[in-house]
This record gives sequence, C-alpha cells and structure tokens, in this order.
Amino acid sequence: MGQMKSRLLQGTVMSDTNNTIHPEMTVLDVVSRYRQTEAVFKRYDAEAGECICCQALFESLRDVAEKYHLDLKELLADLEAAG
Amino acid sequence: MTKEIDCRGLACPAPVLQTKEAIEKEHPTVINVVVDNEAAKQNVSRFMGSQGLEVSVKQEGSDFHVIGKMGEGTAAETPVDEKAQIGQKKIMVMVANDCMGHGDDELGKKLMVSFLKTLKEMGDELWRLVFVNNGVKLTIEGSDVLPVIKELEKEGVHILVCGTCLTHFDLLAQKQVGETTNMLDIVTAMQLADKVINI
Repeated sequence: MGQMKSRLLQGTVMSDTNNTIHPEMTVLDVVSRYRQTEAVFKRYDAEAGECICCQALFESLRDVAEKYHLDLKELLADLEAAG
Repeated sequence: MTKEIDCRGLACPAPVLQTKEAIEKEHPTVINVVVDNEAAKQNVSRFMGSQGLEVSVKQEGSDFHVIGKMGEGTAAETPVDEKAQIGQKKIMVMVANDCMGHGDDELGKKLMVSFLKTLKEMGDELWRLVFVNNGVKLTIEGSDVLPVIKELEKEGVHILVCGTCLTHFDLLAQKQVGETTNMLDIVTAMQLADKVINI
C-alpha cells in the first residue's frame, strides 16, 4: 500500500523497474521516457479522431485504447518498436 | 527561483514535457509557463497540480500564463495539504447519478438540483466534486445545475468529470465544466480526502 500511495501522490503511475511499455503507463509516462514515441501517437491521431497527446495525456494506454477503440496490442507493439 | 518557459506555438505533449523537465531539474519555487492553446493550458495545469504545486492561470489576450508555486516542504504533496495545515477538512463529494435517491426520477432530479445548490454551505471544506457514471450528465450543455457547478468551480472547488463515462455516453464534446479525469485521479482524491460523500 505504501508503494501504491507513493505512486498515487505522484499523480501518475510510472513503470516498474523493467523498461517495457505496459498498458498501465500513461501517455505522459511513455512520451517522457521515450520521446520518439510521440510520433507513434501522432500516427494514431487520425484513427482516434483527435490529438491523443492533447486530450488523453494522463490516461493509461489501456484507457486510451478503450476510449478510441484502438487495438491495444498493436499500439503497444508500435510503441515498443519506436521506444 | 522563478522559471519562465515560453511554450507558445507548441502542442502537447511539448509544454508538459518542458514543464516536467524544468521542475525535475531546476526545482523552481515559481514556474510560469506561457501557452496559447486550451489543451496545453489544461494539461500543464494538471501536471503542476499532480506535482504538488499551487496552480493559477492568468489569461493575457490569446495567451495563458500557467503559474505554479511550490510551498515549503510540499514536493510530493498536493495543494490540498494547505487546507490540512490550517486545520480544514477536505471533503470530497462523488456524484454517480443525475438524480438523488431511488423511487421517482422526477423528484430525484429536483433533489439533485437542490443538493448541488446547497453544497456551497460546506464552505471551504468542500474540496472536490467528482462526477461519474450518470452523474456526468450534470456537467454538459443543457444541465439545470451547470451554472451552480461552474460557480463552485469559480470558488475553488476542484471539479472532476469521469472521462470514461463521458466517452461511454458520447458526451465528451458537450462537457462544459471541470477537468476530465480517470480512475487514478479519483482513487487519489479518495485517499487524500478526510471525508468522502457518495451520492
């Protein structure tokens, strides 16, 4: 719970010790760690119908996929490839 | 130390990333980020808030100055703790429906209007008002209580509106008040509040 509290107080859930991109990371977590992934989100903007980094920066990748009806596995794979 | 960052002409995530970098590397006591679009204003404000800064926004023409102030010893705390320091409770009210109670929806909607109008009587202890599920319908165009909620926001109550719920009801574009939020923010608010009232 202490770790959870610490994470919550930061306002974002950061990745654990491994370096992989996972569904609970927020868009901000991903683009701040792997700047080159911004281009991936930009590519998905058309499919989403709006700027993901503008409208969903604090959402988790899982929530982004659900919100914009994107394929989460595909999104993760594209981000991994870029990151 | 005051840090100023000119992010005019930049779209998200750039303004937030520049703000994040400045806060993490330079630890300014005051940071002024100038942006020129609504999304950047909201995202920079929200990021500063998540870092424990007291956030205010000033508009100058088409530019927004998002100003974050770091209080002493508040590096990992939220602005809420100001209230704790002066002995105020932090009350969070979560509204999960557009009417109050069960039995008669027409009556329930009238009661909800009355409830929200009366909430201001909590005074400064009213900290956050969170709308989820059917409650998000109170924050959109045409809602009878929209002016009341806007007034609460103007008086400093933090209004959070569930983004997943807005998307579910296809109302995201119609939201007129508050900050679109996610479950992490809601859980964080519950954890930090002294009292959570569920309606």
